[in-house]
Amino acid sequence: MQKDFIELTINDIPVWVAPETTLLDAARAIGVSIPTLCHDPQLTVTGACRLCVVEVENKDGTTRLEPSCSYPAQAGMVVRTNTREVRNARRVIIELILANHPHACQTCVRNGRCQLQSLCREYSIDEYKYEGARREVPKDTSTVAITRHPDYCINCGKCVKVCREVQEVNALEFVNRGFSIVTMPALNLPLSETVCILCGQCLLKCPVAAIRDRSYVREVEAVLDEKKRLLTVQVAPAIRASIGELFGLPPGSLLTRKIPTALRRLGFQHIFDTDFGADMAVMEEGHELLERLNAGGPFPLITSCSPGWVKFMEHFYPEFIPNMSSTKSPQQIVGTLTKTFFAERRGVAPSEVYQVAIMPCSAKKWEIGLPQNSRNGLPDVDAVLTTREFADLLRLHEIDLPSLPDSDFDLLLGESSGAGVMFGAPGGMMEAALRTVCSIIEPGSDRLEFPVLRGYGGIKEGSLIVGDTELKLCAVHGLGNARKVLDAIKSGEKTVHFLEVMACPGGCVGGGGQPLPTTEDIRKRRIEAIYAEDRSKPVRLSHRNPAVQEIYSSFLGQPLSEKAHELLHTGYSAREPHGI
Amino acid sequence: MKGVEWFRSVGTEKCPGTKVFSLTGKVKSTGLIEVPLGLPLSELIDHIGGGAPEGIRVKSVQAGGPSGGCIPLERFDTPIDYDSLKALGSIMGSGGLVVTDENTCMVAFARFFLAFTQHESCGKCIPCREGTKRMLEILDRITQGQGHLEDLDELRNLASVIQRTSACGLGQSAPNPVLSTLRFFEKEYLAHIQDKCCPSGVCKSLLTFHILDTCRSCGLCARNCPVSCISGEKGKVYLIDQDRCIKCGQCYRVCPFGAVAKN
Repeated sequence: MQKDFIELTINDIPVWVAPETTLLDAARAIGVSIPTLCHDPQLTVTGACRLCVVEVENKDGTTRLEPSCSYPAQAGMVVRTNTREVRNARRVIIELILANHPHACQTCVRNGRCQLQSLCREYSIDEYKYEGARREVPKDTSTVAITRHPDYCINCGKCVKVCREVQEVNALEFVNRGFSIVTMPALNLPLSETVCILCGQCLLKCPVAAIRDRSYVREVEAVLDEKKRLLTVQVAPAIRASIGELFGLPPGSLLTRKIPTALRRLGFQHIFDTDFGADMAVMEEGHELLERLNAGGPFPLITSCSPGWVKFMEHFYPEFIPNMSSTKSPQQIVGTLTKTFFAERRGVAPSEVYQVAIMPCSAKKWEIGLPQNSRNGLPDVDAVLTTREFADLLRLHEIDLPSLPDSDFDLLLGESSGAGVMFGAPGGMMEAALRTVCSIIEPGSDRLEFPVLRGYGGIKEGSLIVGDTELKLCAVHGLGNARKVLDAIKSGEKTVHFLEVMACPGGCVGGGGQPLPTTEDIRKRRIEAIYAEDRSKPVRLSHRNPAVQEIYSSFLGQPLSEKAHELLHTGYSAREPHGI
Repeated sequence: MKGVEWFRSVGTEKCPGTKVFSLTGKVKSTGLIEVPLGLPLSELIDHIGGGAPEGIRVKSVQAGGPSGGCIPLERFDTPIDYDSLKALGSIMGSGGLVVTDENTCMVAFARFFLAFTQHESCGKCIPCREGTKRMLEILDRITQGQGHLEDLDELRNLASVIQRTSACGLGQSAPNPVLSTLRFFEKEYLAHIQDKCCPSGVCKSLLTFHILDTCRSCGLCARNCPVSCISGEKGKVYLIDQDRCIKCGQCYRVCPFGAVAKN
């Protein structure tokens, strides 16, 4: 047995664990899964729900109940996790939650995916025991992406913690106290008037349905039924690596060629790929990097494809606006080219074209509404569906995704390289851009993989010598990590030439629109799937994508041309309220 | 000034030293007192507090502040120290000692203290935040004559889970007043539930005032009734309109002939 390990018994089974291991982790190590609603390995300990209580024997033979999520294992401890008293306590706690929770499972979006509902089943709770007062707090539907439903909230605090500890945005707080406690933005503000960046990480943590997507399923359903407009759709890179989970497949299953078939069955007439937009973004942003290398700055060049990050930057770090790449996100590039290039080629007015974007991201719903993403009052992308909403739409249309035959995305805006799909993985956007940049600086060198940018590290740093230039690279995911790097750049402590920021932990595969659950392990498996998809592609460099070449030769001219600037670039401005 | 040894020379072996209490309620002399630990409760109440005022029969003492437990008269021989109080379901707590008499309803008394701790809950942990609220609602029902026998088991179960699982001392001790009154004064709970009656005449919902045949029709009650719900005429027994009566007890207090009854 490893030195310094301590021995205790859990349910009469001897366990050896490192000191400071919690009873919860010690129990899990021997296959005892204790229920919790407020514990999350990504967050600091809360100890609010008390569901994880276990019986600990005192020296005098009496027992006490302790919360296993926060109680450290000690040598010689005798712990029982499933005694009659423990089960009774957990049952009472669940019944107490139910007494202050809507009795509306059938109409709840989390029906079947709710942790409280699962616990009721596990603890054979078949009636509502306590009748009495309920907290009645109005819902908040002020934002275009996320709605809050405090009636459903059990105040576990996970949303507050992920917003504070991981994203460091601090949009949510506990307001009031005791029975009147409400988890909401401080000062009773609607979410739309706060620094919330709509990343949706709170939604992923919520064990119930207190934070939800603002759903566009009904709207898209109606447009599909009407068949009045030319129906186009684009699918983000990360969707193909995650949608399978919502159809019972293990995380990391790739359904790239099932998705176009499903979309055609839904009635979409042109199936485009956000990966193509990503290839275009590589061309534009890659040339921005080359331009800055020639001009000597400003550095770092910071990526702009994650709208959560863009909103965060505008609230918290507007001083970095000159550093931001002006290239639009892949979603907006596909949207713009659909309503210009594609509409022109088809000979239809842009207003006749409807575009849906299927995204792993809740902030993308915000992005499509920005004024710079509309032309003559028409949005480039008409509606965004998250991965979850996409699965709902498929089910509504009786489409069982995994059993469909394969088919391909449509030309031209559906043709992509391996570099395009890499946008789904953290560090992947930068890797994709470097493939093209290196190949322009050193023709024929074909560098394909950049190990320093691979893997799950929150802050990945390295340097790359290309030609006679040493490029300092940094790729971060999670905005707490972004803060660290930006602060170090501001203080002069760190020099970075090229910085990738993805708002969500794990990048797009861990986005706020992704299937539930989205844990660290699941994110990693989705990332592996993205890498595998890249390796399977015959073309892995954006500039070698024939569709990209065709767009430039027949429509845009060259990267950073006047027309490219007009269509594919955007601007930023400081946003109120200013974040701290 | 006199050192640890001197301080430890008073009190008991396990609980040495002195303790300051705030003695209040139905005793002749109330106030702050410092006594050696281990002194029997009766000594403290009868000797230092001077016992109950004339005509009053003491029923219990609630020790330890709002989260303390109620100790009945027959246990007043208990020495005041940490372990003895704990054994009776009470605590040393803040050192509050509230002496109650027969005019105190122990159900309403427990409800009063629980309402305080429920209101003070920070709201972080579920058992305290949600559990004390449900206990309070059950006690509300009982004091309004709408309780059921099952409520007592439910109160005991909820109280025990809240005590054992709450995150901090507030939740862990909030059920003490309820548990201790259930233990020593269960009869009063049963009277509220089964007989729909508050033996101490405190719980207004369970109280009715009516005028007996011994009424001399002096009219004093009617003149003093703040809602004018008593009517009558010379030579006849006065009558209280039960629908409008607010149960303030003014008629009961002013009647010179003891002809107003409450039950």
